[in-house]
Amino acid sequence: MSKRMILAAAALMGAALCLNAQNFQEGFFLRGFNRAYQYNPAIIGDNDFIGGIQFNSNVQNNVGAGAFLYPTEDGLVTAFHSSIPAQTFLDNLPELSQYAGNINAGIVSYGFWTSHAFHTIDVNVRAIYGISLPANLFGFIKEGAVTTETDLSGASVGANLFVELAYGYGRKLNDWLSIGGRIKALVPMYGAYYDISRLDLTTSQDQLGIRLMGELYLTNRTRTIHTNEQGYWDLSKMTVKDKLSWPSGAGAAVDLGLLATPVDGLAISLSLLDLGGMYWYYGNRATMYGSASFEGMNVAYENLNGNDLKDKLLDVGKKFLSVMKPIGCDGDKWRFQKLHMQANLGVKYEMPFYRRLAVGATGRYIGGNGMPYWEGRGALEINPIDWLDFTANVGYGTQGAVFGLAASVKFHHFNITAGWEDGFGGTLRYSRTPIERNFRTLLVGLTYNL
Amino acid sequence: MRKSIPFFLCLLMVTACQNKLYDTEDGLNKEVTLFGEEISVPIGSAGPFTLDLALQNKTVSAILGSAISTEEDGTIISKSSDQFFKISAYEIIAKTKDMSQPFSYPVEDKSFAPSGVASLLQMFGFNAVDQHLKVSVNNPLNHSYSLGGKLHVVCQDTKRYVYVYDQSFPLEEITIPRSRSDVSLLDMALPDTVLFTPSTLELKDWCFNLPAEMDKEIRSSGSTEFTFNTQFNCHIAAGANAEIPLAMFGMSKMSFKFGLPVGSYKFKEVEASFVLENTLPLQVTLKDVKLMTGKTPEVNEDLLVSPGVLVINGGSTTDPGKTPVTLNIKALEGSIPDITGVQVELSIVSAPGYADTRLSVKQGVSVKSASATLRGGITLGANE
Repeated sequence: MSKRMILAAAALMGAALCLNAQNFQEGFFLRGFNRAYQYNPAIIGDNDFIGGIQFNSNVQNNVGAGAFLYPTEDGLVTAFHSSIPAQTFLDNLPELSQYAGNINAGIVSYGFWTSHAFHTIDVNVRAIYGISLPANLFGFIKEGAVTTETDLSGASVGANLFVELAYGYGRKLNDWLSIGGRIKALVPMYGAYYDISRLDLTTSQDQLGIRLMGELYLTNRTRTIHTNEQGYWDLSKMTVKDKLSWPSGAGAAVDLGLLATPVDGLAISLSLLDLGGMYWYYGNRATMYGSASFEGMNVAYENLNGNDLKDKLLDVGKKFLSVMKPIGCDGDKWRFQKLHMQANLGVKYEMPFYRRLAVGATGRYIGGNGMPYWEGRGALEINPIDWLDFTANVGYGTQGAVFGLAASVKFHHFNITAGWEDGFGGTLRYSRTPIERNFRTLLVGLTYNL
Repeated sequence: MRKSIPFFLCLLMVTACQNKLYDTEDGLNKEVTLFGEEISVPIGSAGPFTLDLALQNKTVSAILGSAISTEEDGTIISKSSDQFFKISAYEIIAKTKDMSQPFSYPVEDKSFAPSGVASLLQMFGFNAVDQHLKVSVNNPLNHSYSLGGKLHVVCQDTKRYVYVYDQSFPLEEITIPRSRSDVSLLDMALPDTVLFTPSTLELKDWCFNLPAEMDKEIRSSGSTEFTFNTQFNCHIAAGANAEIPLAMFGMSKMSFKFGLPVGSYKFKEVEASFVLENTLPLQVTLKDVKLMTGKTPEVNEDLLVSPGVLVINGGSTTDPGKTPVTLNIKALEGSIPDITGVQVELSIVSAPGYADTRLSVKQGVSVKSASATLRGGITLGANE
């Protein structure tokens, strides 16, 4: 993928608003899942392994498609159809509608034993993206504005792409307790972030007005945007660097884990993940602020024809758009982006009468991201034959009822794992867009046991 | 392993369950209505639609012709120039037996009704103000002569048929020098109280006092006639009871063409609020307002405009009449298409309190502080 494509993808995908790196909790139950240490670094592998590509995607939204689509006798209509009352639509929206995603692409993983400890090394490429829109915005589009001034503040969009280099260490303290930790160096690469801190719309008979205050951040690993005489960004004056240049900042994070096996067949897992964050350097920083208003046109009779009116309307449009023109800014270009801490608790008990069957429970909390999430699940795992392992869980969380499925298949030295976490409530045909608010995790990975 | 594959696939399919209520296979109705409750936008001001523009109308222009001119400040002047009597010097010679001595040639009484827009408008209640009358005569002889008798000026109230001005001016003391044209017999401003134009100019009991041997005094070149001319001009005021009979001129229904490209937004109802500012001393009543649509603008009966009657208050340049208006436009079927004009039935009467205000081409009607409120939303993507 070319640099340009990477940059474009990062810019398109949205913001680092909600970094919910939902690690694969099903891995706690799957026997022989080599990357279970990513869920809890105290989970020590049975053997050395090397892992290839692992794709882990997570999306989370706090408003589902069901808020925007409505089944009626005449078919499916959008929330903006005249038959849908505004209050019905708005009641289905949170104050801030958020959609966030996280992609964790494992490039390579390596786990190996030394005398008393298990070590892991990971190289991952991670992307996080999100968009956040205030309910007022949808309300304004749906209803218009009976009041004079409408506050549409709070919208933001952004995306970040960074590399994660992780080293993990786990060891048994005694027969029933293991500890582990991972230290992660975070290398910010590409980032784009746009935040509207203030947006007021005035719609009255006397005035149509906009007041905007927003900030735009773009990293400048390959491009530096310069300004024109008026101080606005001028894309024709972009400096193109020959090389990828330095990373766009630096960061670090740690994972901590504890695994207890107090009695035979019982495992209790406790882990804290993603404690840390990154400093991003956005070499291209701009503010967008200003106001524009339209009090009406003053048109002489002789100019009262279609073309003149259109020209005047275009001028008004240009005036309003000029408020959104980025103004180059030399202020602080560093932004700290914290990873959102994740706490996991897991309990697994292998049935004494049939050790290939295990039951358990997991709990998870993700905080500090504006969209706090918790859930609890009951899980079942069965390993009917040596080369096949399967686990399923069901539970309830912030987004309603949830379930998860995962399977692991061993083939010679290879271990293929696939898993899926989702919420109930159905999806839209073809697009698989969830109807209810939910989160969804997909993991597909391959490792080779050495 | 082979036995496990169907089980594994079934489990994966569970996660892909779809809600039939949200099945988009048959298509999603993409009709959306934005700003469904209400949204207001300012529009601004337009105009003024002045008398000057009205005078550019072909019909009006054909009727008034050059009978109207304007002063620098735009005030309209009604003016007329007429020749009301002439007699040839040769006719006098032919009818005179003895010209050896200076002689008096009596002429029967002559009367004349001056023309002019003002005299036409006063029939509709307009007043002629600041009136100025000039009567002149020429001299086709190489010798001076004088006149005898009097010039009688009469102004008549054309509605009540009473004289409002009746004055005679003696002609005896006026000598017309030889070979002169346009010698003033009368140059006067009528009293301010006289609001009707002269209806009759009459030469009464009069005669030419001519020189001896007049037949030898006729100019060898130029006119050989004694010619009496009048020049009259005045300003026009609305009067207290003016009413323009537009129907008489086939102008009771007037169309104004313009372009408002609103069709693509599919408005169903628009409420326009504005203030009509009128500097004409006339009260304009608009009835039966109809919007026109189409490339060749035609009245669209599916567009309902209310109120049906709109009275625009009159005023003056310094004290414009202001009429707040709330106009509702509603599409009886479908939505409002591109509007290409408006047709109205007009009636124009004098505005109370502004009877003395002179008409000016700069006077007119302006639309001020216009705004539109859309109710019921803007529907997009609706099937035609």
